[in-house]
Parts: sequence; C-alpha cells; structure tokens
Amino acid sequence: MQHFEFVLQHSSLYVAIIQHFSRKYELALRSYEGDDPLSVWHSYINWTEQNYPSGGKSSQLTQLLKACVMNFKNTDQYNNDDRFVQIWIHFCGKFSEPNEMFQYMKSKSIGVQTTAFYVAWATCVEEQGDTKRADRILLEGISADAQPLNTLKKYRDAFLTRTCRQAIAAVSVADEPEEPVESERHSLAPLALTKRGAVPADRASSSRPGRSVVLQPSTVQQKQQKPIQIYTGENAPPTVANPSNSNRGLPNTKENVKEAGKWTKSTSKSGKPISSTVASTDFEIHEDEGCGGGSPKGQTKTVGTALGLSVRKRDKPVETADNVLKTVFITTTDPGEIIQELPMYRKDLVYAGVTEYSPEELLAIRWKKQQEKLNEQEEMANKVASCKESVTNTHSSK
Amino acid sequence: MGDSSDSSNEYTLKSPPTDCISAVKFQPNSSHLLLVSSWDTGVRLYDVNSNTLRMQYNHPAPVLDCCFHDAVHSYSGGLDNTLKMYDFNAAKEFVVGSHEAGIRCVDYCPEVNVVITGSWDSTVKLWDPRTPCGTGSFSQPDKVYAMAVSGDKLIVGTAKRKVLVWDLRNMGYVQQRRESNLKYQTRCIRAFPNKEAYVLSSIEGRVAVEYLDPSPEVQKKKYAFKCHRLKDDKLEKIYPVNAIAFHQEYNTFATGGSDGYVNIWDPFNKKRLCATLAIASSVVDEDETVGQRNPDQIFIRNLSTAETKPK
Repeated sequence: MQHFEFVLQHSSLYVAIIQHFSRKYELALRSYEGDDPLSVWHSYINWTEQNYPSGGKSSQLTQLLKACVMNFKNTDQYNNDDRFVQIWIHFCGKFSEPNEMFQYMKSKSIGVQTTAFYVAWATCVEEQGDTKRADRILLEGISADAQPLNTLKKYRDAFLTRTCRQAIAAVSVADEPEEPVESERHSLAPLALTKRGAVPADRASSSRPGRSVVLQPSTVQQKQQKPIQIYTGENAPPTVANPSNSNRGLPNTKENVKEAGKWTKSTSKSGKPISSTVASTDFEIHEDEGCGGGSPKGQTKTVGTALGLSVRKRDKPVETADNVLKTVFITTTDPGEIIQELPMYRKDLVYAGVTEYSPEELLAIRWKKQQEKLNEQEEMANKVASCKESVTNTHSSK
Repeated sequence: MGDSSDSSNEYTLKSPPTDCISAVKFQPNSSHLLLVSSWDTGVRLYDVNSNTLRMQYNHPAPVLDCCFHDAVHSYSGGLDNTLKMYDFNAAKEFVVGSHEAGIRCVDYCPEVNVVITGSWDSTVKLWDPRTPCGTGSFSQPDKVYAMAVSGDKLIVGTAKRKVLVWDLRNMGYVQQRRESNLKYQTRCIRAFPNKEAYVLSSIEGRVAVEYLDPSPEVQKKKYAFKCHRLKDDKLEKIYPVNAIAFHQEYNTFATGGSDGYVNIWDPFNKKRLCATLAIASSVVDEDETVGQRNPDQIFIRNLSTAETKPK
C-alpha cells in the first residue's frame, strides 16, 4: 500500500514536471524574438519525443509536428534546413500514405537539397515495392546535388546491391543471400518514417520466417502484395474478418473516397450496414467542420454526440494525407479565385504548439517583457548613480 | 458633452484610460455609473451623466476585468493574479485573494450573492462579498477565457473551446460539459436576460446562440452566424468578436469586434438591427504588425427603442 502511494505521488510529480516544461516551451514559442524561431520548435519537438513516448496517432508529438510544419509552411527560410526537413520527414511518417506528403514537399521545394529528404522518400517508395521509382528519386537527389552528396551516393550504392540481391533471390530462389538483405533493410529504414502500427509487424513476420527454411513462399507472397501497398493489405483483412476492427478501419478509408463508401454499401454483404451508418455520421461531422458550424444541420446534434464525435475529428485529418493536404495546405496557400480569408489576429501565436493562448495572454507576455526591460533600465540607472556617488565620495575623501 | 461624431446622442467620455480597455461595466439597474478596467493598470469609475471621472484605483499590473458588487463596491482582477475590492465611499481598496495565474474574468451573481473569478490557472474561485473572503476553488478543464452568470448558473468558457455550466448553489459537480459550436477560440460569453440561452463569440468573426436546456427539442433552436468581417475584392478580413452586451428588456444584444464596429442583433428574428454604436464594448488591439492602435476611447450612446427593439 505504501509502495503504491509512493509510486502515485511520484507519478503525479512527474506529470507536474512534464506540464511545467511543456508550459515553458509553449511560452517560449510565443515570446521568442530572435531570427531563428525554428530553434524553439526544434527543441520542443525533441523534448516531446523524449517525454511522450506513447506516440499514438493523435499524440502530442503529431500535433506538434503538424503545428510546426504549418507555422513555417510559407517561409522559405528553412526549406533546406536539416532540422526542418527532419521534422517534415517525421511528420510524413505519421500518414498512411507518406508519398503524397513527399510530393507536396517537393512541390514546395522543401528539403530538395538535402540527402535526408531523398533517402526518406526513396525508403518509403521502396517499402511499397517500387524499387525503380525509388532509384529514380535517389538519382534525382544526386543530380540536384543534395547535401551531403557522399552519403546519398553511398546510400544509393547500398540500395542497388540490395535490390539486385533481392531480384536474384526472387529469380533463383536462393535463400542464403536473402537473410542479410532483409536485416540490412531493417537497419537502414528510418523507423520514424514508418507507421508504428503497420509496418514493423509486417517486417517481423517477414524476417522471422527468413531464418527458417519457409522463407521462399513468404517472400514471394510479399512481393505480390507489395505493389498493392502495405497499408491496404493491412487494413483490408480486418474489415472483412472482424467487425470490431472494421469500425476503426472503415471510416478512415471512406473519408478519403466518398463514393466508394456508398457503392460498397449498396452492393453487397449483410455485415456492412452497421459500419455504413458509422461512415455516414462521420460524413456529416466532417462537412460540418468544413463549413464551420454555421450550418443549421450541424447544430441539431445533441451535446453528447457532438462531444463523442469531435474527439475523432482530431485524429482524422492527421490520418489521411489527402485531407491534410486539401484542408490545411492547399486551400490556404492557393491564391485561387475563391475569396481569401485573412484572420485579423496573430493566429500563428494564438495557435502555436499544442496549446492555445488568448490575445490577452499574448499581450501579457509583451507587457511582462517591457516591464523587465524597464526594471533593468532602472537597475542600471541605480547602479550608475551609486557608481557616481562612490566616485564623488572617493574624490571628496581625497 | 458633444463630440465630433455626427449624432447628438453619442459622445466620448473625458479622461479615458491611457492604454487598451479590457472591460466596461454599467452599474446594476442604472446607466449612471460606468466601471472601466484597462491595460494601463487602472480601474476607473465614470459618471456617465455628467461625463466625469469619479475615482480611480490601480493594480500593480494590467487589469483584465472588473464588476460592480453593489452601487458602492467594485471588484477587479488582472495580470497581478490578485482580486481587489474597492469601497467607493471610503475610497479604500482591499486585496481579497489571489489566483496562481492572471485573472481573466470577474463577475458578480446577485441571486447567490457571490463574486466569481476565472483565471488562466484553470480554476474558478468564489468569493463571499460580505467578509470578503474566498469560499472555494473549482478546477476547470483549461484556462478560463470567458464567463457569464445566468440566474444562479455560471457558464464558463475555456481554452480548447470547452464550455461548462455550473450551478452556483451547488458547485459539487459540473452541470453540463459542452464544446463550443464555433471552430475557433472562445472570446466572450454572455447570458440572455431571460436566462434561457447564452451568446458565445469566437476569435474568428462568428457568434453562436446556444440554449441551456439540453433537451433535443430546445437544442434544435441554436444557431450561429458570421459577423465582424470586412470584405474587399478577394480578401475577407475576419476580426475577433471581443465583447457582447444585452439589452436587459428586449433580449437583443450588441457585439463589439476588433474591426472597431459594434453591431446590434435581434436574436429572435435573426436580423441585424443596427451597426456602429457602443453600449459598452472593449476593443483589444493585439496586432503588432499593423500597429494601428485604436484610440482608447469610450463612446456612450443613448439607445433609442427603435434601435434595440425586435422587429
């Protein structure tokens, strides 16, 4: 019992410490005045990585990565800054289809002069089985003179030997070279890039049988699956098999493609109506958010459901690359025909990090800074005065 | 009395605060005295009828909100984390208590005879004005950004768009936990004088009318609308809606935005009755880049029935 209380006390202390630091970082984001604002974000993200290891889809870290990427999306200052590119790559890894995100990065010329970007993209493409495209990406990086170029070249060499071996293995059905190749891929693939849920599970299954003799059928299977992409392979079976899992899997895929959801609904299978209702409620909420709560339909919902569903809303935009790209990046950066909206407050400061500040709190930060400056000036003046006094005193004593 | 403004029933108060105005409150049941708190650390009491500054006291830091307790007592709180009470007759101030972070909201509930403060330390505290001393601290899910009293109910708006309804007679539990229907940060909440609903405004040009009764029947009536936006050719500037004030009799309300406009709304016919006037609206200017600081003035306008009566 005592032991339990001890642990409890210390865990609450731990939480308090974490909260304290996180508050400090949040404040630092808003009060920074130098010319390298990314430095605060970078150290905040690093700190979060260390202290929020759970890393779920709606985790603090994901929110923070998104907020950081959003914050600097219109500044070119950091486009090829190693820290910023790493943050972007990390962020891309949170998506089921990082490919689109990498493409977006390229279109905005973020990281196009860094090796890290091409390696991360190539690894992602390679994981999906498209080795040709992966090589093209690496070549592109080399021709773009990505820095450090040597590392990129070395990576490509390793990549080529790896794929060659794989090709040979596939053709000649030789299991000996296969083993090291698999293990090599493990060490090289940046784990941050992959979704924690999906990919590692797959790899474990592919590497463990690799040690035994059953390797050949499993690798062949893998290769057949790979072009269809790992993520659909992961999601599809549960939707058919367990209805409990399908609740989680389905809405995500359906939010991406409206029509597909409806077609499957109407065509077949008795088990689907339950999941289709889930999908339809998801829809309303999603559109409601888009048009901003003003529609009378959205407001007819009771308080309880609104609360329940809104929790989901949060992870969804992070889930699907499509959504994020459409809602967050493209709409705001496009100067198209639609009327552009300009919020007349410091939105970047109000919504920096993972917490929010009100305009009054921002003003308070400014006020406190001014006060500190005034105090410093006063102290200086006092010091000067006392110095003068002592000088005159010594003079008079002489 | 007169001012450069066009209409004769509108004038500015003399000797206004020297920095942003954070709150303006009329004396209960009268429009004779006006209490004004400001970022210049002062709390001022104006006689609106004679247009004079009656008295002033100061906090060590900017004041974010103030309220009347009765005709001769006021309460105020701000960045110095302390709640002050001021006795007009004795011209004396008392420190009543404190929070662990800035006090954002100060309000008084006549039904329960209690002064309420909401703070960025994520608590609401109650204070007995008779002693005066603290009677309880109640934790909220996040930093308190807005507060409204409706009868014996307290509506609290916090960061992350949370809205909580408390019963001031029984603070043992939260009566209702809600989420704002608006997408962005809550700026202000004010209750309808008829105690059935409240109005919530957001940082991005939107106002929602929400009903307290949780039954689906009543909830159907709630709605939201856009306002305080200036549209140019292809650019729509969206301003925070900082303040809301009700007409006590007609249940019509006015909103004040960072765009410098005050609009009066008829919530029953869902119409705008009129624009640009100031019942009591504070303008917070936080845009550093533009750097245009609104002149910190208080406009008093006598409202005609035509301007405020539902049509």
